[in-house]
Amino acid sequence: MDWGALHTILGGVNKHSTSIGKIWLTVLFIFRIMILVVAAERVWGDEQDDFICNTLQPGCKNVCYDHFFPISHIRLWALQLIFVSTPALLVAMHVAYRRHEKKRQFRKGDQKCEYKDIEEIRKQRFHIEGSLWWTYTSSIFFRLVFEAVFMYAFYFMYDGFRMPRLMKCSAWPCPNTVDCFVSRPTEKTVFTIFMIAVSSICILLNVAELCYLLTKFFLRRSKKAGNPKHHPNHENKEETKQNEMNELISDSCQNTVIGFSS
Amino acid sequence: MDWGTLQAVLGGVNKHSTSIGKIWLTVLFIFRIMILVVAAERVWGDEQADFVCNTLQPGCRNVCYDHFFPISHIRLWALQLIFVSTPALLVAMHVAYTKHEKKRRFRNGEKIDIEELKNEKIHIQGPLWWTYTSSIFFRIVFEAVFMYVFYYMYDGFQMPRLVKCNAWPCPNTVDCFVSRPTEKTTFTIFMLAVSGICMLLNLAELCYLVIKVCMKESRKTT
Repeated sequence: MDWGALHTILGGVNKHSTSIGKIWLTVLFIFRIMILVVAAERVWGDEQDDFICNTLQPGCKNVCYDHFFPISHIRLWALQLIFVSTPALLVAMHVAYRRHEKKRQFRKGDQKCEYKDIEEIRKQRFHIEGSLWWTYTSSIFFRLVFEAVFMYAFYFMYDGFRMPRLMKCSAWPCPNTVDCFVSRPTEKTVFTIFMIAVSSICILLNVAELCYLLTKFFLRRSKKAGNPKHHPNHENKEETKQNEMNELISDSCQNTVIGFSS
Repeated sequence: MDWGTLQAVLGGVNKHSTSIGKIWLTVLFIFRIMILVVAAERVWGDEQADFVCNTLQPGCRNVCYDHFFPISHIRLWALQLIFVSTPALLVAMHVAYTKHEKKRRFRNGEKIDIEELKNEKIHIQGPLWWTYTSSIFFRIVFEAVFMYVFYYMYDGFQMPRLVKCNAWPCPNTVDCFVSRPTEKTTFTIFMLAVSGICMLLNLAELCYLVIKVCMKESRKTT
């Protein structure tokens, strides 16, 4: 179970996302996860081995490293990426539940057309309306919250986004004050700023998607309010769709049973 | 045979689980196994290399490390995850057996679409209910046992920065310093929290199944 498996799981969600959602997913995988795996992990790979303190006192280096780096940047980014990806699973679960319900409904209906229906149901793309809209919007909201929380945690824990070259440490058992030198501080600063920048781009994409969904929702509502003849009730709309589908199926059923007569 | 293979094996069980069971499986794979592989293994990667003791005595560091870390957290979590995932295989075996029996019966009797039989979702009733419920019970037991073992072995869930060691051949008492104690404490608490969430999900699923059976029984009697 690694980033590849997460990619497989989230790839399925892509089908039911908006265009902005698809762009967000691509940015997440290519500019964040891939950069983390391919580059950042090597940069932070020797973070403790090459953290050197100007002392012979055993244990001083361990204690100073632990004091200045309570949680490594790499682990924080890994946690951030996992938490930020997970709300999309809510949408996947909702879509799977809807598909399951539709399959159950069709199974109760016409028995002969079962196989053909299920294939259609599997390939069917659900539009972001009704309860799915709420699930999708809450998933975007949670994504934003998690991104913001982790960015704040970063800023709070490391007093900004810059990696210092030198740290002065006086934790026991270090004698008096000891100079400790961080490994590759400039490279780490560059990657930290890069990841923060891409994180901000992802936040902007999420905000844009949220605005888009809200705008779509209000436009639809105003259209319904403007045209009261055309089934303002959500349930009637579902029933009409269901009826249309049933008609299509019964027509196709007749064709399959009777055969394609010229 | 690695975590990916386990995922493939358990993915098949997913089809016959309740909704809570599916959520449990997702939490297991994303918040436990994935965190273990992607993050925790790196944190504990240098646990012995960077375990430093304030002594020049050869062998003292080895002995102290062994005394304070009889089984590493990472190995305990790996064992816990394997033991906790395994009861689901009971369900998979039972479902496979039921399907096999049906195929055999239909081959002897009338011909029916084997493809349909393969894709059919078997409902959790009768003997399968007992198998499923016992698998959840075993899951809860394993989770609790491992959580207790952790607590007992490490005197709580916090990783100390300093451990004082006087095992032979260390001269008198020696200060030993653990590598990355804060990060390890953070991940230990995180894994514990997710373990707690998984236990709650299992309890909820158990209650749901028991209530379902009781309701069905009361419907039959009325």
